[in-house]
Amino acid sequence: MTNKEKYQKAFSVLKPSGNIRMEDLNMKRFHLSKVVAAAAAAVICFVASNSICYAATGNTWVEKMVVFFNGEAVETDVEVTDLGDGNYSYSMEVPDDEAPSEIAIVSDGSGRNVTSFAIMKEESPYLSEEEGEVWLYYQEGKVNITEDFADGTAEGTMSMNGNEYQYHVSGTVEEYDISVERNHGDKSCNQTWEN
Amino acid sequence: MRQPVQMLIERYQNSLFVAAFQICKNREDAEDVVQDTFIQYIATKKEYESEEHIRAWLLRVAINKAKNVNLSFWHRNRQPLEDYIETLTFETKEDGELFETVLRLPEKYRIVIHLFYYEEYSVQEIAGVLKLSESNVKVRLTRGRKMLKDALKEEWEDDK
Repeated sequence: MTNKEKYQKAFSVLKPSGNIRMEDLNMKRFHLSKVVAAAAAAVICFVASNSICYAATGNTWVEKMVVFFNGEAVETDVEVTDLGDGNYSYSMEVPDDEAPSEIAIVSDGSGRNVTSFAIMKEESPYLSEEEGEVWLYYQEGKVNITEDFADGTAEGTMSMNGNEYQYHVSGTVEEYDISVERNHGDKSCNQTWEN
Repeated sequence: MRQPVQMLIERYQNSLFVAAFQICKNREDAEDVVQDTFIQYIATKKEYESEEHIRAWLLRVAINKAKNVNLSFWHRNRQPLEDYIETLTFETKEDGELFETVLRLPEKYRIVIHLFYYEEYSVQEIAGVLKLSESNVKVRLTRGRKMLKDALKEEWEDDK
């Protein structure tokens, strides 16, 4: 008996528990589309430098802030975390279908001036599985991260419109964290998205 | 070209299940992967060159989905492999040893070994399915065979 015959004989014991029915596929497909719709609300997190130092570090609190989404002022709850190194992490919920192209926080309700930064966000990065391969989409670019992402994380650089972006992806195709950092001059801004 | 899903299920369900099991090492996860693979076939409005092209596409999608399952939380709550193996009835003791030895191989060698010996793909075809270079596939195949030979001794022939 050849190795192929031995191998096929040994694995012939493996059988699925039943035949797949078209009704099962259609039901599961419908269920998946509902899950995707429910996940439409994304969380935008980003870190911004702030020259003002605060005594309490490592704290997280929620504040009402006025946030400009695409030029429109919206008062919303923002989770602020003092990272203790002069940076603050800001996190807020934004419906995916209203993804802003620009975010600028102009008031945090506490009198602090946080107008010194503006986060450009033309489009949230996202993962897409196509023909079994995993692609990271960001703005007008995309990069195949299938091999790198096999262990649950992927890191690399992508170039678009003359800018270099450093990305870091972790999680799964369904639930992931994506961090994209763009270096421009002596400043850098870092944005993190969760899905 | 495209083929009716029902026909593809009848032809490839078992093959995809075994390939997915090679990675997930778990019946429930492998069955989910097979279902998701056919759902992706339905959802993907892609034209294929031939039925062989469809088969290779289905295998590639199933393998990649199985890898993703291994990274997810739910995978950890499934039936242990040892418990499942106990439910299988092998024709001979050697069949069971070969089965368990293959499943102990590192994943990157295991899937290449599987595509070669079970699906009867050539090195070139495996490279196409896994999107690897042919030389990479050859290396993995050689190392996988050596591991099988070391473990199974005279039960595994030396392949040329």
